[in-house]
Amino acid sequence: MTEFPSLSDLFAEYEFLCRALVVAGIEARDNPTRVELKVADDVEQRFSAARQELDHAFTLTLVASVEAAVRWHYEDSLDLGKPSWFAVPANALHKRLEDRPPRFEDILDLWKMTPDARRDKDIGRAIGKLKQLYKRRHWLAHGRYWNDHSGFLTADPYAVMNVADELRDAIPEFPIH
Amino acid sequence: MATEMESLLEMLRSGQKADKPVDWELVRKEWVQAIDDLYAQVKDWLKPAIQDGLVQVQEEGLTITEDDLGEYDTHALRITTPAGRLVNFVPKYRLVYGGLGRVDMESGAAKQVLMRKQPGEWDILLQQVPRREERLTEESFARLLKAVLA
Repeated sequence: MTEFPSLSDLFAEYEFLCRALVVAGIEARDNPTRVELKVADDVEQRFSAARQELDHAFTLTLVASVEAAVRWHYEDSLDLGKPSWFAVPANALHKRLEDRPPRFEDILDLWKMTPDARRDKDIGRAIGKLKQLYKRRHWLAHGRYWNDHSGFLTADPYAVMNVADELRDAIPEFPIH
Repeated sequence: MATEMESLLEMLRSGQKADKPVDWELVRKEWVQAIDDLYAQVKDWLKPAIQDGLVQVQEEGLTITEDDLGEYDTHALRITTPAGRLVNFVPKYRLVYGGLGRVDMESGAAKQVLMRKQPGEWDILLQQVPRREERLTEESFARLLKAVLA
């Protein structure tokens, strides 16, 4: 895996780990002590919980990967001054913040200014979904100690990929690495 | 060949359609019915196994909340074998890009995404990267269940 892995690289890794977990679950049914479970333990339930944790971990990782690509593009457009429809409001935001890094949501709002976004309400919806996933990521990254108010309680790695597909199709230049 | 005026009228008509608000109540009802239809199909495929007592099938209430659709009640479907193995069908959401709803088939660590592509048509997402899908049929369902219960 590279230092700045792509969303697809990360998802392929997730799928590999899922398969490995399923194989481990099959092994554990026959021999629970190999994974330090007592014979009487409910192996299915234990592995179901492990899958849930893997899903949480990769939901966080995948959303973080999208955030990284979006921030990278933002920094780049400040340096290069293009594309101009993005760079002009990005520079205005940068000046307003006096060099402080912008909130991810504020960068996403710049994407709503794409000429297509003004036409297409589906783009607004896709950006809205990504904002929900970001709230979910925040909830996961901070230990889940408050109630998740993301509005996307069923979000999992597949949901992240689905929103990424939607964004890619709606805004071809959207920087999903 | 359509005249410019006919073309203009067509454009205005389609614009009118596009601006019509979505009847979310109807979408919700249609989705809940689609889930019930899927379960009816699964039960039909499993009929011989159910009759021979090789599996038990039961439904459990489930409440889902989605943007636009709000909160709605549906069911999860639970398949149990005499050896205590469980397979659950769990509806996730109706509003999904590139499809008309998602239901997962879960058992222990295994999770198989079923994507509703068209009314009455479900695909099994075999792999996301690179993407591989297969239509849900009696054959593919039997293969899937066999793999999950292996």
